[in-house]
Amino acid sequence: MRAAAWLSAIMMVALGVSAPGTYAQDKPQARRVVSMNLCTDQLALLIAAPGQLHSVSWLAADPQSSALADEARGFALNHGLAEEIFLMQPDLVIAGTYTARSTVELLRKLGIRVEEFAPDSSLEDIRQNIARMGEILGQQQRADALGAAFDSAIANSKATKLSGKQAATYYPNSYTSGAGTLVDSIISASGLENTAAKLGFSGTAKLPLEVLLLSAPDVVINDREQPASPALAHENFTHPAYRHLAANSANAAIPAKYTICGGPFTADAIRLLRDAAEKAPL
Amino acid sequence: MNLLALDNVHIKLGSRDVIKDISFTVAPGEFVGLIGPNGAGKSTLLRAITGGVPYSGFIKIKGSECQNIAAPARAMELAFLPQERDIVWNISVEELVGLGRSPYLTPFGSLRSNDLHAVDAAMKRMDIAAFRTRPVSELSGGEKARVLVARALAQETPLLLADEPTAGLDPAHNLALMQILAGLAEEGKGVIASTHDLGFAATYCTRLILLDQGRIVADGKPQEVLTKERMRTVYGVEAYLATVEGRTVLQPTSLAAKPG
Amino acid sequence: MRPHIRYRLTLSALGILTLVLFLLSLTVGPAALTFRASIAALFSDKADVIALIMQEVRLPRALLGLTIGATLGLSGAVLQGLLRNPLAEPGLIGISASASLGAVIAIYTGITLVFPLALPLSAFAGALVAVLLVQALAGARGSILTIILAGVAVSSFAGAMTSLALNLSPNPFASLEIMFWMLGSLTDRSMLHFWLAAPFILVGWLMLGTLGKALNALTLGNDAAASLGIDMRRIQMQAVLGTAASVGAATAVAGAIGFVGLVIPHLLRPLVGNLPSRLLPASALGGACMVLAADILVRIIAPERDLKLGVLTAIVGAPFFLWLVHAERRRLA
Repeated sequence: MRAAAWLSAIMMVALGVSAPGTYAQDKPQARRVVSMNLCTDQLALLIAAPGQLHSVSWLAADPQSSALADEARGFALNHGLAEEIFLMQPDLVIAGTYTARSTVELLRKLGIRVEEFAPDSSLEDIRQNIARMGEILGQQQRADALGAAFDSAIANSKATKLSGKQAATYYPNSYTSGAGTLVDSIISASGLENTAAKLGFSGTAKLPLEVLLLSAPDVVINDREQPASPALAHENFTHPAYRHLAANSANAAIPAKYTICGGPFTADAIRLLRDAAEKAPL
Repeated sequence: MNLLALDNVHIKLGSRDVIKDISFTVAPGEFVGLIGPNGAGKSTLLRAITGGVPYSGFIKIKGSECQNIAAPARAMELAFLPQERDIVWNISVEELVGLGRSPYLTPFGSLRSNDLHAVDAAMKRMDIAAFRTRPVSELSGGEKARVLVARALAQETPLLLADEPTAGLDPAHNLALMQILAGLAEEGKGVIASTHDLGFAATYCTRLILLDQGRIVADGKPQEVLTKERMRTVYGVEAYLATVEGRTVLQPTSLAAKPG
Repeated sequence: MRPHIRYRLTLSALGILTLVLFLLSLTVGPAALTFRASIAALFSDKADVIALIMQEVRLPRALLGLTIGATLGLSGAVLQGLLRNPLAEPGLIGISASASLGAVIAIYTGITLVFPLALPLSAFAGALVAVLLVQALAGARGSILTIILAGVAVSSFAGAMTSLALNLSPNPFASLEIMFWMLGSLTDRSMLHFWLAAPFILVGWLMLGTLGKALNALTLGNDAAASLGIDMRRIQMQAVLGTAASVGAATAVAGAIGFVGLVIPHLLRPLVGNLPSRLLPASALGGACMVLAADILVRIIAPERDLKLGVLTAIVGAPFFLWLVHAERRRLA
């Protein structure tokens, strides 16, 4: 189910809008927190005080989707089902705005406090979500520290100037990350120009092979995830025309776990891409 | 030489013996009426001779075992007019008659001049040339029957088998068709037709073969085969049987009393 | 000899239309290339981007549209003639669905990674099982209704098994790909696919294309055809193998595309004077036109949505099928 989660995460990012910045500061500090979304899982893992976080979603422990899979192992893993989460008796549930609407509604009806996070679609979103997570968990100091670490990691990995080169993402089923996606911000931060955004694609969209060929990007980005078993979705990578393009441009393999959600690991994605761009001939 | 010779032909359909060790021969010039009640095995026997049903024993066409003759070669010796008259595609009359030339054509060949000649002759004989370009869906029942016979004639074979060719025809068409079949026999062909029209069969056939429960009950001249006694035992009817102006008149009058 | 002239005219018109649609298929696409530039790039031996797009993306797509369409049209005409059934068609009698199942098993188990030919072979096997099954169920004198009902059963079963096979795949994308297998697409297929399918399709065409004379004789029924020198067993074998090989290979690389084999023979039958032998080449050309046109339309209507071909063919085909059922209902009853 890894790539499905990956795909749905991509979709979330594509549809993403910034969350409103109204925080519930009057509420007492949560003691038993359950997170049911991969992105909130990872922020909570980084920010919650020891013993405060009870459960994260099962995807948080999946090394292909999660950058913090090792950290997630000690926690109870949930599958986003209302019944299982209710039985955990949480005093705070953290969810994504696009996950399991029915579960969220049901938990609220049962009187459980649910906080929702919109997916990150820019570096600024990540910064805001970190701060908000700190407030919700009552861990502002830890959040500030993480925010500072994030800023410096981004600053260190960012390319100092635009290279003038173009990069295109090309995922299974010919999907690409257009304007307004986190990946688009990552590409910009690495000093590259996102081909898909330049061509007018926004959100996660299909990039026809011949359009990709014609745009002749300097860097082709994919997640290089070896599929667990064959599917037509990966046939675009064996197409002779794509292979010709891949052989004549720089290839950047950025593991999906660095781009699905925002966090300090976003800096890893930027660094990987910047290094690949430097190798690309201009 | 005989055109057709059957020797101990036995046919099983599933576990049922439909034809039981039948032997007879047909010579040129014979018009054989194959008669017998429903279920006697007439259709099955005709289909076996044309290669549609497996059998044991021997069926020889001009001395060669039927099963050893390649299908197209057999089709040049023997034409068959099945009972089924359903024409699935709405082709024209002349194209349908032209199908009779199939055995003579190469896979992609079209009709050559001798084929066209045979088609014309068959249509003329069956008096259908006037509506040769008409689609078959626009034909009446009688016209359709004549067109199908013309198709078999266009095959130009020494042997012609027909399964109830006169079924469903009005008296005039019925009579005309029997006359044509008799005429073909007079020209030296061997003709076998199954029929329930015993009066016409007795009048036009040179010979009748009476089948009952898969066996030949009688085989000979019509007057010898058709007797009141056989009408009673084989068909289960009492019949009025007479010869008027040299023609046999046969009219079933009542169901025969069950024996015993 | 008027039918002959009309037949020639029909064939010529279809031939020209096929050529026009083939060229259109080559020149329509998301990359905006001019007609001249694209045709020139098709024959260019420079390895530039436009040549790459034309030779590796659009050419296989157009070639597959042409051959797959011809296969579906031809096999539809043959099946209708063989079964004496105006509703017979590879999609409706379950051949396409079973070929899909065969292809799905070969691809998603990974067999095709080590042995690419397993794809058309497995689809061929699937298609073969379906034809034999439908023929056995319908019997020698199967009514129109029996054949269609048998096809419904085979189709549903094969569709369910395809879905199961895709669900069982550990690859999460697999289950979404049921759309491709049930509705068909030519998007971003490559010359690899074309060369994989072409030999099977060609063999299938040779087997089906030489059936004209036999199908003509079958107009009068099985018994009459047998008495006209048609070896029924050989003819049935040839039609079954030819259909399975060509439709199997077509489905293996493009998914199941329905209704082409139903609509095209029906539209063309009156134009060629209803004779099955004349219908075969006309239906092949007509099928090619229909699939090429559908594949051009999916690129024009919603280029970003990757519409499936089967959607368009069903929009035309399903109402047509209902109309046919209405027209044939007396024979069906």
